[in-house]
Amino acid sequence: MKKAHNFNYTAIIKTIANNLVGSTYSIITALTSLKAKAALLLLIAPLIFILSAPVLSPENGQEASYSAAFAGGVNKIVITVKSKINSEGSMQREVIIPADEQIVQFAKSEFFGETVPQGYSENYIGAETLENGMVKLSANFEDAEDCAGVLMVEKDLYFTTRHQIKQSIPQYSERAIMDDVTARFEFELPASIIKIQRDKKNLTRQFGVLTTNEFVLNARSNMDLFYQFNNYGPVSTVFILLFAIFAAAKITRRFDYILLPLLAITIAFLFAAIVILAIGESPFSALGAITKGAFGSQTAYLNLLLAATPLIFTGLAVAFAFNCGLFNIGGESQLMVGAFAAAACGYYFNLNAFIHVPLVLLAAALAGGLFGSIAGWLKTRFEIHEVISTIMLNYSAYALLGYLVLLPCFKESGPNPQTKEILPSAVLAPFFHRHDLNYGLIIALATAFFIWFLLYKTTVGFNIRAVGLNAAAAEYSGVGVSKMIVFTMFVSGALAGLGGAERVMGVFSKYNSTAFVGYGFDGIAVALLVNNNPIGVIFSALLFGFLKTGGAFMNREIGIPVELVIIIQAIIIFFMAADKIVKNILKLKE
Amino acid sequence: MEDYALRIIISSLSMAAPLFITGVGAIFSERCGIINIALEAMMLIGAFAGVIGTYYTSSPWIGVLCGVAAAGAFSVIHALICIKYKANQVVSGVALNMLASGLTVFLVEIIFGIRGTSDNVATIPNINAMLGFGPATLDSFLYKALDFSPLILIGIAIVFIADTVLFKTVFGLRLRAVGEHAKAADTLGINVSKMRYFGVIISGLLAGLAGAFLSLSLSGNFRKDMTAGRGYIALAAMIIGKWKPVNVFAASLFFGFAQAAETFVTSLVIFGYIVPPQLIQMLPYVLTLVILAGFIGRAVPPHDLGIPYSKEEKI
Repeated sequence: MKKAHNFNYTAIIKTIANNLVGSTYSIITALTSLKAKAALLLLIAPLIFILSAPVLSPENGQEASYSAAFAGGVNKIVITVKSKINSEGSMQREVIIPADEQIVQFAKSEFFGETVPQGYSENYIGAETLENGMVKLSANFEDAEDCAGVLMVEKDLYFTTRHQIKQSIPQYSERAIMDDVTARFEFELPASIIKIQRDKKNLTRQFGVLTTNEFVLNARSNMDLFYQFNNYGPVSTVFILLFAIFAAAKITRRFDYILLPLLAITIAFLFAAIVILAIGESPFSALGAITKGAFGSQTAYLNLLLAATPLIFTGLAVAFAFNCGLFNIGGESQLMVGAFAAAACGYYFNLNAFIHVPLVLLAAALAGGLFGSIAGWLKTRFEIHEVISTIMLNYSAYALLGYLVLLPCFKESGPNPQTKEILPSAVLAPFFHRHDLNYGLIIALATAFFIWFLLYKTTVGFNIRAVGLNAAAAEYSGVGVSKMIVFTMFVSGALAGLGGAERVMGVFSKYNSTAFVGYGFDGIAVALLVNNNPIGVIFSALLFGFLKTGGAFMNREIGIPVELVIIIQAIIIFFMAADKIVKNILKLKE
Repeated sequence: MEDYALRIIISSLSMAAPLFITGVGAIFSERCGIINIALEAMMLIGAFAGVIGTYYTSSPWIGVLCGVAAAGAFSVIHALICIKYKANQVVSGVALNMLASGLTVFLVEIIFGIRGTSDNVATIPNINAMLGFGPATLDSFLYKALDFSPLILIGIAIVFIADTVLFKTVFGLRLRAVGEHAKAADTLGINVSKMRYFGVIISGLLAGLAGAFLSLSLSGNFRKDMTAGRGYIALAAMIIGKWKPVNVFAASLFFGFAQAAETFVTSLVIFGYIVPPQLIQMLPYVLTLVILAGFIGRAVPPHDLGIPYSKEEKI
C-alpha cells in the first residue's frame, strides 16, 4: 500500500488552529482547577498538539461529483450526484437517475431530505426528463443545511450511501479504488454490479484490487487506518488531555475533583471500546470519528457548543439542588414546562425585542421554577422524598403538556403535536448567520457564574449548603430549612426552565412534543461528573456536548449506533457514584 | 354486553400484569432497604433479552427465561453498587435506566440492523390456544374467557406467594427486619448484605418477567423504550399499595383498568365535561403524590430505606 504525503498549507494551518482550541481548553481546565505546577505541566500539551499538525486530514472538497450504480436484482441503476456549495452557504444539487418511480422516491429522500425543509414549497425539487430515459432532479437550497446530508461532503455521502445499501442488501460486497485524483467505489451484488465513482482532489490513498469477499475486510481496515491518520490531531488532543490531567491529579492529589471524574471517563471509554470491538469495529476509528465530528471543522465546534448549552442549564439545575442535599430528577419536566411557557409567551406578546426576550426568559424561568418548587413544597409540607415526587411530576407534566399543546389556542398542524412559532422579536440572536448557536450560550455561562457566586459568596448560598450538609444542624443554627428547600427547588426548576427557553428561542422556535426529551436526564450526568460544582458544570457540559455531537457524526460515518454515547454517559455516572470502586482500583485509602 | 365486559376485564388484567409483577418485585427490594428506581431498566432488559432468546431459539418460553435471567443479572449491578460499594441508590438507578435504554437500542440496531425495532418473534400462546380451542369454538364463552396469556396467571400466583413469603416465613421476616433496622437485624445475626442481595435480585427477576410479558405476550417484538414509564407506574403502585403485595396487586388493577378503559372509551364524560385522555394518563402519578401526602391513609416507607449499611459505622 502506498501512502502519499500531500502537504497542503491551508490544511496545516487549519489543524494547528483546531489543536490550539483543544489546548486552550486544557489550559483553562488547568487554571480553574489546579495549582501552578500542574498548569505548567499542561502547557507542554499544546506543543505536542502543534507537532502533530503535519499528519493531516485531507481537505474536504467543496464540489463533488459521483456516479453510483446499484442494482435491485435485475436492472443496473446508475445515479449521478453533483453538489455545489457556494461561499455564502447556499447550495445547488443535481441528481440524475433512471425514470423509475421507486428510484426517484429513493433519490428524493436520500439526496434531498425526507421531508420538505421549512420555508420551501412542496415542489421545490425540479424534475426534468432527459433523452436517454433518465430524470434530472435539481434543487437550490438557500442554506446548505436545509439539504439532506449536505454537511457530509463527498466522502460522507459515500458512507451514507454505503450504509443504505448495506441495510437493504445484506450480502453486498464492495471494492474501492482510489489514486491521487480520483476515487472509485464499486459495489458488487449477487445479481449485478454497483459502482460509485467519485472525483476527489486530495484523497491520496490507494487500494489494491482484491477478490470481492476478501476486500470487504481489507477495505475496512484500510479505512480504519485512513481514519487514524485523518484524526490524529483531535485524537491526540483527547489522549494528551487525559494524560495531562491524570498527571496533574497525581501531583496535586485532588481525588474527588480531578482524578475521579477522569477515571470515570477513562473507564467509560474503555468499556465503549470493548463494546465496539465486540461488534467488530475499530475503537480507534470510532474515537476518531467522534473527535472529528466535534472538532473537525468550524461547524463541528459550533455544534458542540450548541449541544452543550442546554446541558449547562440542566446540569446547573441538578448541581444547585444537590448542594442543598436534594436530588432533582425532575429537570426533564421542568425544562419542558419552561419551554412551553417560552413558546406561549413568545407567540402571544408582540413587543420590542429588548423587552420581549427578557420577558420570555423570565416566564420560562418562573414556570420551570414554580413547577420545581412543587416538589420542594411536597417535601417540606408532607415529607415526600423529592426523588419520588419529581418522578411523578415528570410523568404528570408529560401528560399535561401533551394536553396543553393540543389546545386550539396553541396548536399548529404538523407531524408531531407542536405550538405556533414564536415571533421574531422573541428570538435569541444567533452568533453566525448560518448556525443556530445563539446568545443563550452567553446566558448559560453567566448563569453558571451567578450560581457559583450565589452558592459560595452569599449568606443564602451558605445556608443552602448548610442544609445540604446537615439539615438538623442548620435548623438549630437558625436556618429556615423548609424555606431553603422550597427556594432551592424553585431556583433549580428555574434553571431547567431557562434551558428550555434557550432551545425554543434559539433553535426550535416552538414547543413540540419530541424535541425536548433527554436534556434533563443528561443534566444529572453533567452535574455528577463534577461533584456539583457550578463552574465545573460548564466543562462537564462541554464534554457531554462533545460526546453528543461526535456520536451523531460517528453514526453517519461508520454506522455505529449513536446510543453508544448514552452508554458511555451511564457508565460515567456509575463510577462517579460508586467512587469506592475507583478507590479500590487505585488502592487509595479513604 | 357480556362480551364487552369480558374484554375490558381481560384487557385490564393484561395492562395490570406488568405493573403488579414489577411492583411485587420492587417490594422485595424496598422492604430490604434498597431503593430501586431502575425498575424501568430491568423491565427493558427483560423485554429485550426475551425477544433475543426467542429469536435465537424460536421458543418463547426459553425467551421468557432469558428475559428473567438477564434482568436478574442486570439487577446484580445495582445490588453490587448499592450494597458493596455503598453508592447513592438513586444515582445508581438513574444510571441503570440510562444504560438500559441506550444498550437495548444499541444492540437492537447491531443485531437486527434496523433502528429502534426488532424483528417479530414467536409469542407465548394464550391459554385458550394452549388448551387446544380451535377456530370451531371461536364463539364459545370459554374461548373468549381464556383469551389471555398464561403469564398473567403466573403473575397472580407470584403476588400471593410473595405475600406469604414476606409475611409468613422466616426469610420474609429477616428481609423486612433488614430494611426496617439494619443494625438491629445485624445484631441478631442476620446477614444484612446477603438479605439485601436477595431482595434486589428478586426484584430484578420479577421486573424481567414483566418485561418479557410485554415483549413476548403483548407486542411480539422489541421497540425502543417500549416500557414507556411502566416501571415508574409500578413504583407508584408499590407506594400506593404501601409495600404489601396484595395491595399492590389491587392498585395495579386500578391503573390497568384506567389504561384499558382508554382504549375502549374514546372520551370520558363527567358532569357534561369531556375529560381528555391525557388527564387520565396523569392519574396514577397524581394519585401517588396524594396518597404519599397522607390524604388517603399515610404511606410509610421502610425505616432504613436508602441507607447503606456498614458494620463499622456507628448510628
